[in-house]
Parts: sequence; C-alpha cells; structure tokens
Amino acid sequence: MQTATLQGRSFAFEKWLPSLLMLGLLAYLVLVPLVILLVSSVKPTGMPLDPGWTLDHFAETYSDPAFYRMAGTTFIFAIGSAMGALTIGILMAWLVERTDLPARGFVRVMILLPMATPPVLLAIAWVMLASPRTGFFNEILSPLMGEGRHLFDIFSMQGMIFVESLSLAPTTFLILSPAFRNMDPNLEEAARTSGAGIFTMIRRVMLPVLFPSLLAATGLLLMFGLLVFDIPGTLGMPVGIFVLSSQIVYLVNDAPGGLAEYGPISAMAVFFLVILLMITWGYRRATRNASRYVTMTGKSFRIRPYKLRRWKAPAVTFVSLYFFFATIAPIAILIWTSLMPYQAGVSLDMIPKMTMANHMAFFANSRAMSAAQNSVIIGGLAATIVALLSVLVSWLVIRSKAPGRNLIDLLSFLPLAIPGTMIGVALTYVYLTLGSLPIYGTIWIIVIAYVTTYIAFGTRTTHNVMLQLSPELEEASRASGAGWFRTMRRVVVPLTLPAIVAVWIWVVSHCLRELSSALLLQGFDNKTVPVLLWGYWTGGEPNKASAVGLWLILAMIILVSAWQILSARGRLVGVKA
Amino acid sequence: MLMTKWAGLCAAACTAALFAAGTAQAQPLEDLAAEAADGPPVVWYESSPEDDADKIIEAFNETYPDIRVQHVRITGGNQFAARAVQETQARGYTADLLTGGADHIWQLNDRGILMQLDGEELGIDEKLMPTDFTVATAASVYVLVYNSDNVSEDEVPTSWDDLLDEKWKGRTGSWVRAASWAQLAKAWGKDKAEEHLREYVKLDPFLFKSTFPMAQQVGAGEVDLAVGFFHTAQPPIQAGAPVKLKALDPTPMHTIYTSISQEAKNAAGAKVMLSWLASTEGNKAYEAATNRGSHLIEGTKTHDLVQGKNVSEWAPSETEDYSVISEEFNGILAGAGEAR
Repeated sequence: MQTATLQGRSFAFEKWLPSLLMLGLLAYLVLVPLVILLVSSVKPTGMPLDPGWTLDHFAETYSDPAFYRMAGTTFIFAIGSAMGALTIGILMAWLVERTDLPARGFVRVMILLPMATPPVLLAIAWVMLASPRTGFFNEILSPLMGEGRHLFDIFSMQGMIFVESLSLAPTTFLILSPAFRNMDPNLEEAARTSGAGIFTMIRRVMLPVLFPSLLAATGLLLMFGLLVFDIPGTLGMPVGIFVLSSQIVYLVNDAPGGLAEYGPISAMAVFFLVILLMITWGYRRATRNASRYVTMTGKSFRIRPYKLRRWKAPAVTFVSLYFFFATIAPIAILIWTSLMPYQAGVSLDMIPKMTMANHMAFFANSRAMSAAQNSVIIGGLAATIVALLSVLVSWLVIRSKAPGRNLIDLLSFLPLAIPGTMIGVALTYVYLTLGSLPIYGTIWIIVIAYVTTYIAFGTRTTHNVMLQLSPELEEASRASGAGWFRTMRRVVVPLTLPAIVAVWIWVVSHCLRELSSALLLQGFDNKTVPVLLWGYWTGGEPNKASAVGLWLILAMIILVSAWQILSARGRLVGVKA
Repeated sequence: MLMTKWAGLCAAACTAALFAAGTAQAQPLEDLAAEAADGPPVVWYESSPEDDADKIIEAFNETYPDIRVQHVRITGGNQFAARAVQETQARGYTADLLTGGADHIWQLNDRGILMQLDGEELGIDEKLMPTDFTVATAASVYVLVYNSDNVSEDEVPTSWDDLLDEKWKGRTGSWVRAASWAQLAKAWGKDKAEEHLREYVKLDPFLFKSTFPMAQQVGAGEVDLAVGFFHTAQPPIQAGAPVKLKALDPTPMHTIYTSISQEAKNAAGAKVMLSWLASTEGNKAYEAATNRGSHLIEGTKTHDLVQGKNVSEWAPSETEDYSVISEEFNGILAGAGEAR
C-alpha cells in the first residue's frame, strides 16, 4: 500500500516535473519584470523601491480623455499596419512556398532584408523618399504636379501604415512560410481535381488549414503595432499624430520633473496586458481542437508547385513592387545618405560632395568593432535560447497533456505587452540586487532581456507548426522504443526545423536592431550596434547612422543567404516525413 | 629710483601673493590627483556621443594623465536620473560624476545621492555654484536655425514676434517639447509666453523628437526655419550644410550641471575632473568637443553667444514652477497636429 502511494507520488512528480521546470524558468524570465511593472504602477514615484502606495497612476491615466484619443489613433495605426503586413506576407509566403514563381530562393532572401533595417532608418529613408517638400519621388514628379503640389506625403497616417506594413511583412512571412511549406499538397490537389478555382481553393482549403498561423500572426502584428515607436515617432510626430508609444517615450525621457515616470508607464502597460490576454484567450479558444489543423502525417509528400500561368506576370510585378518599396528604394537612399557629408536630398549638385568618410569612420572606430562583436554574441545566444525554448514550450503546450500548460502558454506570450523600457528597468533592479550574479553592465543581462522579449514571437511561430504535426509520428517513434529525448531529436525537431530556423533568423535580426532594453542596460563595454547607430542618429550624424545601417543589412544578407544555401543543399529542407 | 624700488617690491609682493594663492588652490588638487591615480576609473554619466567624450577625456588626461575616466552615454535626462536612483537604491552607489539638467540634479540631491562640494578647495568660481552640491558646467542655448538657401538674411526673424509671420506657415519646425517657450515665460511671464506659443502653433510647425534630426531636416530643406539649440545645429553646419543660426532676445536657455555622487568610488578623481570642467581650459575643451560650453565662463563660444542678451531661464529653485508650465505648454504645442 505504502509502495503504491510512493509510486503514485513519484508518478505525479514525473508528470509535473517538465511543467515545473518550464514554469520556473518562465516565471524567472517573465514574472519578475511583470511583478516589478505592477509594483511600479502603484508606487507614487513609479520607482519600485520607493516608499508608499497609490492608485493615482491608474486614475490619472484612465480618466484622461487624451489617453483614449491616443488609444484610438494607435488602434487605427496597429490595425492598418497588421492588415497591410498580412496582405503582403500571406501572398509572399504562398508565392514562395507553393507556386512556380521564378527565383524563389532569391525572393526568400530579399523579403527578409527589411527586417535587418532598423525601423528608424527605414522611416528616415522614407522621409527622404516621400516627404512633401524634398522627397525624391515628389521632386521627380513635380513637373507633372505643378509648383507647390505634391503627390506623396509620408508625414501622415497613411504614410505611417505604409512604412510599418513594409517593415512587418517579413515577420508575417516568417510566421506563415513554414505553415505554407508544411501544408499537405494533397489537399490542394483534391480541391483542384474537384474543379475548384484558385480563389475557391484559397478560401476553402488554405485559409482554414492556415487558420492558427494567421491568427497568431494577426495577434503578434497587432501587439507590435500597438507598441512600436520608431515609425510613428519619425513620421507621425512631426505632424502631431501621437500614439501611445509616443506617450511612453515622453514619460521616459522628457516629462517635466526630472525623473522617468515609470508609474504612468506601468499603468499604461496594464492596458496592453489586458489586450494581450484577450488575444491569448481568443487564440486558445480558436485552436482548442488541435487535430483540425494537422497537415503533417506519417505519409510522405512532395510539394508540386502551383502553376501560376497567366498570373505569373502579375505575381512577379507584385513581388518586384514590394522589393522596390521595401528594399531597393530605401537602401538606395541610405547609400546616398551614407555618402553625403550631411543629410541632403538627391541632386546632381551634391555628387561632388560624395565621401566615404562615414563608412571609414565606422571601420576606424574601435567601439564599432566591439559593438559588432557584442551584437553577434548577444544575437546568436539569444536566438539559440529562444529557438530551443520555443520548441520545448510549444511541445508542452500543444503536444503534451502536462499540467499547467495553459499557464506556460500565457507566460510565454506575456512579455509582448511589457514595454522594452520596463524590462530594462526590472532587470536593472534584479541584477543590481543579486550581487552574487554580477552580470549588470555586461552582455549577459542584454541576452536575458532579449530572451524574455522575443520568447513570445518564438512560441507563436513554433506553436503553429506543432499544431500541424500529427501525434502519430511521435507515437510511432515511441512504439519503436525511442525515448522522449530521442523522439524529440529524431522526429519533432527535424519536422519543426523550418520554424526553428525562422525563429532564429527573426530573433537574430531583431537583436541586431533592438534599442530600448539595450540602451537602458548599457554599461561601459556592452554596447551593441543599434546603440552605436542610435548614438550617431541622436548626435546629429544621420550619415554615419546610415553607413552603420547598410553594414547591418549586408550582415543580414550574408546570414539569410547562408541559410538559403544550406536549405538548398537539403540540410534544412522542409518536411519530408 | 625710489619709485622704481617700490615698484619692484610691489611687483615681488604681488607675485608672491599670487604664487601663494595659486599654491594654496593647487595643493589640494594635486593631492586629490595623486589619490585619484590609485583609484578605480572615474565613471561619468553624461549625454554626449562617445567620440566627443573621448576628446574631452583626452584633453583632461593631458593635464591629469594618471586619472582614468570611463564615460557612459545616457541620453534622455529623465533616464539618467532614474538610473542613478535605481543604482543607488539597489547597490548603494552610482556613477562618480553626474551631468544633467537642473530638474535631474535637484531630484538626485533631494534623494541624498549627491556630495556636498567645497568650491574653494576645488578652485571653482562661486558664480558657477548656485548651491553647494553642483556646478554649472554647460548650457543649451535656444537659437533660430534656418536654411540659408531658402531663407535670405533679410527674411530671418530678428525678434520672437517676427517668427509669428504668416509667411512661415508650413515652413517652420520645433522640438516636440515646448521647453523654449516655458523658459521664455521667465522673462515674459506665463501669459505672454503662452499667447506666443498659441500663435506659433497656428503656423502648423513640424514637431521633432529631438533637435539633432530637426537641424538635419533644416539642412535638407524640408523645414526652412526652426527653434532649436545652438549645439545641436553644429553637426550639419560643420559638415557644410546650408544652415545658419540666429540668437533672439530674450534668449531662452537650460543650464547643465555636474555633481559628484555621495558614494563615488573615486571621489578624488571626480573632484579633479569637476574642477577641470569648471576651469577655462577644461570648459573650452568640453565645448570644443560637444559645442556646448558654460555661458558663465569667459572665453567660451557659449559665453559670447549670450553676451549682451537677456537670458531667460528659471532658477533651479523654481524647477517646480517650470515643470508645471512646461507640461501645460507641451500640451499646447502637441495641438499643432489637431490644427492641421
């Protein structure tokens, strides 16, 4: 009897162990900043260790009509950007993964390039391309438009949405691309055999199968749109279009009083948390019947690309236009700016003033080399940890019956609602207090910040692929005598590899451009490339900032090209179950 | 002959007195410098770009080669103050030397983070020390920044009223914070400054997060005329952009202060550095690197810029009044978008 009880306890412990380990890790990564954020929101000064308690920050924030005006503007921007990015991302993912679009490998590399462009540089590039008075496109069209008239005005809500959509499209592509790749082509063939046209097939077959991925992408894009500052700050602020992130930046840096106002920021972050909880609840509810989305089974399949035929020309035009607006035009203007001694519009008069000084300054600067080294180490480590954690979290949440999996899912998504500034504040307190772990002021504290920040994206992406994976595959492996680790290594990881690599690439590229946490956590020798770039930009040297941005983009081209070459050699090919 | 003898004696006495005074002032600094050389690096929180900070440290090390200084750039004054508070609360100390605006430095002093200074010991002119915990080491001076290709010399406003001319509608720009008008309120009174700001908003100004990119946009010609800072307009000017400046009267300004933290790890080094920053030589070196010197130290460009002008700035003790006006004015300026 006693033995049976002990065995029962042992079984319960084994059942709980994976959940407890994961919950412990996520609680450490996510709950600590979250608790500090909540404490900040009820402290009179917003500083967590200051005395006193208050609800004034909530009362003031949520009774202010300006907050709701700004929230309305923010929603318009976030929804518009999400729709734009989804439209581009879905079409791109389908064209690249499922059709006979020419040069698909090249397209796959090119579509990810805007992701390496720091959003502030993308916004600056678009100011130079489409500002009303000196924008390049308006200048060349001025003979048609007449004196004082312009066709494009990037300083507008439409301009903000357009540039943000271009910026978010690669993220959408990365989320959806593995899902498209893993979709069983027999479904499409069955539809075609039944006489369904392309639109019917998309509507009746593809969209339902891709539903979880689309939902995850929509949720993520909405949250990104709600919190992003660079693009609305550069394109909206000049004409008085303020979003909630503008207010956060104001409260951090410029509010009168002399101290960053973490109290109101935290109170405002609670609003984002509520939205995020709603999105999580919606996602869980919509995907609760996981078996509906299984497309990867034990049967092998070979993708037979859909023949575009008469749609090939429009498809190529669409892809070319996207590249032109998202990559070629901004990079061209950044090259121009990096060769100028000061910010100047494109004109023949400026050609004699071209200089390589900004590029030379980047390579001659020992700090730049150290920052590049830091960024590579931080990006590589954070991306690897996020990718591994994401697979484990997704397996626990989607595949297992582990207790507490809903909590694990929630914890892995919550960081998306915590502004980078507040993650920085929390980690500062934690690691200044934990003297036994002296990582304050080092690159390691930034690695932790990035793992916390990007785990949400990682898990949303791997969730989708895990949903498509049939449990039969793991069951077959177990039946053949393989243990959990062997099954993960030989079955789950290879099948989810496209998504893992997508997560890795996404996290690396975002680590190469993330600023909020890196700025707050910077010490003497843990500077990253974005901090350096920001230093040039805020120090009145946009030309040097452009030069740094271009080298970042080049690094990204090399990284993504390497990924493509490896994929082409079959090392990382999609699903061959 | 007698006169000559007396003159000689007087000169010798004066030289001796000057020498004695010099020695009395220099001795403690020399001791401090010797003490500082054995200590850890002086950690300095300040907002200038690292390349500029390198030049300052290089100039400082010409005089004090054995004192190591580590500059950490923190932009956004509020974040600088918050970081100093957080570090002090969590581990008991922050950077040795802290440079920021009046509101930030006074916040830190209210929390007991700053060290009391002896100006005499450090050889710092008392006019640079409004209190005993900080030294005025620089100033950000507001000027009109204009594109000289698009705005002729005759057109440039010569008064704040000229800035309100209808011809600038859609052609002007400002920092998104109405701090210049909040400072003008000191000289004009709140009502006049507010009225001026409300009229200015009718010109549909472009609002910029920072005055650095604003000066670049003036150079590019997107904005013809802007209310910016002298020092943030220098990068495009030095790079050859068609940007010129004009200081108006009254001239709004923010004084920048430097203090030493109570628990500084190398307090001696911080004192030597602060003393050097407050000297003519040190301040000129600081200005040469950052384009921002002290208006109170003769020989600096900043001093010459505001010379003869009615400088408009709230005293540090009036920071609270300034904050209230500033908050209100920020809201008015933000209304520029709604007016479009």
